[in-house]
Amino acid sequence: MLNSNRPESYWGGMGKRLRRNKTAMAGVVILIVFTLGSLLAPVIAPHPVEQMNFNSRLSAPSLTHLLGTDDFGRDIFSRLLHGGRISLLMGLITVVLSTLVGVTLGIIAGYYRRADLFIMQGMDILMSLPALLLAIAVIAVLGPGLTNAMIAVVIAVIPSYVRVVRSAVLSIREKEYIEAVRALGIRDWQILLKHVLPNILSPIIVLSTIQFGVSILAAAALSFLGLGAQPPMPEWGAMVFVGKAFLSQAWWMSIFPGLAIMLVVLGFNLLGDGLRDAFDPKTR
Amino acid sequence: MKEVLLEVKDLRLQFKTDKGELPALQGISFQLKKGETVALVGESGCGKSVTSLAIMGLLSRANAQMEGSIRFRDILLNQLSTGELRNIRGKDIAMIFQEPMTSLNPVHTIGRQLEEVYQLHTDLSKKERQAKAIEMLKKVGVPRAEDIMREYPHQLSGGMKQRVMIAMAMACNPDLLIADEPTTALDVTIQAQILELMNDLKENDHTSLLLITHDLGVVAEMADRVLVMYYGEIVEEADVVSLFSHPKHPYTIGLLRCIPDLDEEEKLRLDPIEGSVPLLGEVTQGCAFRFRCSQAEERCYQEKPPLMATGTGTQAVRCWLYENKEMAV
Repeated sequence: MLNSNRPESYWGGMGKRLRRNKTAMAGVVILIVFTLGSLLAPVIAPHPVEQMNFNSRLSAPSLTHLLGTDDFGRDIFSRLLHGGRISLLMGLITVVLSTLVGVTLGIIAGYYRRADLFIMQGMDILMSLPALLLAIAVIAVLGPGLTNAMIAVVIAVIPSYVRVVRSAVLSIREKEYIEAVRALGIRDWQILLKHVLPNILSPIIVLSTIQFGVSILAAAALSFLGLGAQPPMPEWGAMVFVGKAFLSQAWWMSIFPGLAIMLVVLGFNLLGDGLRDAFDPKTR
Repeated sequence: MKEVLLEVKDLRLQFKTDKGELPALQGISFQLKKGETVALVGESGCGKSVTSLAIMGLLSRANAQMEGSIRFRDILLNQLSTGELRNIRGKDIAMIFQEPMTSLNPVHTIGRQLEEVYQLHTDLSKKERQAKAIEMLKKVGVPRAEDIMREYPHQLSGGMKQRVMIAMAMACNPDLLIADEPTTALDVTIQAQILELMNDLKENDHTSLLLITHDLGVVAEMADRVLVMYYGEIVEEADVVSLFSHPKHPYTIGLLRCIPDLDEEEKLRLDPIEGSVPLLGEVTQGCAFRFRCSQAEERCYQEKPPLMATGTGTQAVRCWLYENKEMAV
């Protein structure tokens, strides 16, 4: 029931529903652990990242090396912590960039009929290629490396933003309150910024959360293929790739970075699903 | 004679669609004087709302082709640029929409939406805007105005929302208020309150009101003059007393027959007009009402009647029945 003395705000109700969702909270816990681990990597890593120790090459997980060592005797656990910084930061940058570009294009496509055809045909072309293949093609042009991998991932995920935002805008622009503010003498950009954008924030937030995981996965895949981060950088995808050669002798070299990727992506997906349910309790 | 505030002359409007051009308005002409209330009456799809949107300049110029003129004071609205129109909208001409439930943005507080009007059309500071907004809410009879400012639309009832919409429309003291079915979505008691409120505000601020409705009860309550529309045309024009006492056009007569009479002893069935408004573009010649008219003659199928004076005051009617026949009153 409505309590008129202490009205529940939109965001307040959303947060309450999210906190009640156990799987979403599991996602949050995973993400908090990984974020803290990455942020505090220099403090909590038991060994320096690049410290090689040829006496303990390829040693199995033990108390000194929690997750074992690699072919140069480097501590996998420490490298994972530092690698988390790369992966999470890459994810963050790609999500921010693709959100900015994708939302702008999506709003324009949804609101202006003429731009719609032009933008959506461009997006259809991008979407007709598998995302990873597209990213590889972009890197083939730009050359391998971390920055180019990020650009490639951004280009590959933009179409999904444009599509989601465009359809959200299409439904909002026909609402009566948009016509009502137009009748008040408001400018188009003010309508878009003040009245349309706030109404489509929830799908954007949900999509960004899920795309965060997708971006990390894509970046790791590119690094695994040798197109993104290059060894000896402790990027998770690159670590899986290096470990692949030693899979029969030292499974921990690939398995643990792989698990790290999986858990982070899982965390984002759980949170994303939870956010979707929390934002729109009717569509469960 | 009072000053003419709004003059619409031979307004024609065609919508461009894949199936060709659809005539939505076929030469509408009317005047609205200062302080006057004119009601635009008719069934759904007869062009009432389109007329109001055309006056506001809210129709997409790409899809709607407009001819004729709309003069507001001495400004020709249909020749203004979008920017110039924007300055008039909300300030000199304001509009209230049909659905109060959906006419407020659900993500902003009432206060923010009301303040926005002042932000658009005045140079007031944030504090002054807030004070003005609260004052306006009180003026339209919203209780606990200060609290309501911080609340969201979903926390208000339909009647309250319509009051807020009226507050937004009246915020800058517009000369002309267009109300598109302002009470259709509200229940009867609230309807009466909202109508009374609109009447009060109108009297106080000398605002002219263009009332769009299909509710003849509302017309009787509010209007000075009535324009009956059918198929994008005005079929009858009369002051409110003449219209109710001796309607002329068969369509108007039909509309009046559809009003239930509570005093009637016998429980008579209502007498609806058979059929519905023809689709746009369906009628190419003759009178558009002939398909539903019991008095249709051969001529009605061939020639379209002009709007003819009937001899009683300013009443005019678009029907061959009244040609050369000054009706005895």
